[in-house]
Amino acid sequence: MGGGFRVLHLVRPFLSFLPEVQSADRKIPFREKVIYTVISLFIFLVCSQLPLYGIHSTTGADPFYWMRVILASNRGTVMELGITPIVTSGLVMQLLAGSKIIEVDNNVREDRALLNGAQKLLGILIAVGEAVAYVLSGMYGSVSQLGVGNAILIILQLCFAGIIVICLDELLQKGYGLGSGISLFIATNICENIIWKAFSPTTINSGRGAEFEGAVIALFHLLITRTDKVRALREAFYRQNLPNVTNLLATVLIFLIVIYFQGFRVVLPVRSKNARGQQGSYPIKLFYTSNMPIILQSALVSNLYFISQLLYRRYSGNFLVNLLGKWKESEYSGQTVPVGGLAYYITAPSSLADMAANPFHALFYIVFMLSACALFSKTWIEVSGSSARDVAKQLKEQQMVMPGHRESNLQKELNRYIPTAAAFGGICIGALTVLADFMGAIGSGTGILLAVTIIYQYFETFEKEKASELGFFGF
Amino acid sequence: MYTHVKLYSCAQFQSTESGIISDQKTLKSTASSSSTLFFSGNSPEAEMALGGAAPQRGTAAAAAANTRRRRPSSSGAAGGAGGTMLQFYTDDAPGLKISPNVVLVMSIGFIAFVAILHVMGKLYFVRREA
Repeated sequence: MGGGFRVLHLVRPFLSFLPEVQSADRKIPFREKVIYTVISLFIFLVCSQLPLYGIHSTTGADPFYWMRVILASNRGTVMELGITPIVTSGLVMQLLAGSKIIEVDNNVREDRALLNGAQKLLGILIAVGEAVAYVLSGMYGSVSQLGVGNAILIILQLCFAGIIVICLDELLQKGYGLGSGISLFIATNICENIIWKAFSPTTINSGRGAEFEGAVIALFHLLITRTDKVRALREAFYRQNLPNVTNLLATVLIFLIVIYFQGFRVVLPVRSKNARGQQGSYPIKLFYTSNMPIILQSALVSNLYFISQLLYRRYSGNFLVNLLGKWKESEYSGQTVPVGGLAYYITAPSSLADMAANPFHALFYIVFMLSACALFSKTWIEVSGSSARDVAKQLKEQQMVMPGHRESNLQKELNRYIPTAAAFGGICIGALTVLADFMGAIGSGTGILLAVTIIYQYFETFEKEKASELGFFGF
Repeated sequence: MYTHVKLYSCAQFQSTESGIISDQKTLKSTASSSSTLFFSGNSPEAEMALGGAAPQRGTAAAAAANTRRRRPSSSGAAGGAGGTMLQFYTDDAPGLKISPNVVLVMSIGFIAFVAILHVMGKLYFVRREA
């Protein structure tokens, strides 16, 4: 380091202004954790329904439609930005630190504080930047329409919402709540979507009389009102333009399959060196990287969509731009959908009939999904420090050895399992996403897989917390 | 007699288990690296099972776990290569310290503020148009 100039030190003057949730100085009881989690969730839910004050209109195509699933944002509400600021700043800092552009010494306390501060500062800056960009780009109506006062108010609301999300996430992560705020918010958003699609009481008139949007409600409505019950059932199961019962059943099926696969694991026996007789096990799950591959994959795809859409709107005649993607407004939702180019081929076919009509598209999509997920999964273990080398180091630090293997062999032994688990798990996750998309599960394959894996992890945390609580009393 | 023994071993089990759980906690804090943002990956804590712990060794194991528990766990975050995506480390940084309740109150205040803005906006516009 040599006392040279370090980028990280630029953050220092701002450090004292950044909000920082105090660490818990006592052990927070399980009940209290649940209460904190529920209140945070409540705040998030209210924020994602509360419309922004001062906006003029939110009609027209939504360029961020494809990102909303992973970013837990809702259009036109206070949660317009959702978790974008934190996720983006987290990814950027991770990349910078991982590629050694910012030098961080993990053993120095100040460095860690600075990195944390830098990340939070970047998050707030991104929130401000995005808010300004949204308003100036006329997403809520042009600035002259809004008036300067309202424009400033909108920016303030968006920024403050961003800061609140950062604080809530930190609150949950610092031991006051269960799990991390981000995954909680993503899962909630997706589940809300699924429940709404199943039970929504709103009616839509699409030429065949008023129909209920919710699949279950529509089923009963059709069964009661129609005289021909068989045709009513068929309609409820197979209607095309609105969520139907088949979609709902497909969603449930995917849920069950993912949960079943979560249990697949290879258990390596480990033994403690200094506490004799303590046997342990180190499980390597099939879904070693969990939902990370699809998060990265959908981040990549949605960014590509965004760029392609922007380019297509400006220069739709250009050959290269058309190669990247052609877009058309869908007749149902007013949403632009890709109809050509690369963007089309990496989008899931909308139905089985569509798949049969264009088998090359389906094939390309499957190959792309599987290879992208496997690749991202393998990359992620290196970046996140859960590769065989890192795990071996951690086990060594904890004085754990594998019986029947020399200590130096530990990494080699782990190397037999971890990369395979990562790649194969990635492929499985990709395959499940494809399956969910083909079966037409509600809320896209990516969304469902994210929701299931997050809920499953929550379930695990829940169990662990409960167990530790019991152990605490037994002590 | 037999039930007594059973009870005894049950108590042993309890104490060892709690010891092991505290052990888990130290393990977790020692290796905080791969508890990633979306909980991805395996957490590095080895699941300690009671496997080979013979009943008479239980107390010893518990005692060992106890001594380990006293180890300062704040030094834990040192290990690992920053595997978390969002929160690199969870130890305290200097900054504007706020308690969790303040965060909650602040957010609810914000929601109330936006709601009031809506109400005021409605009233104001209605009056001006009338």
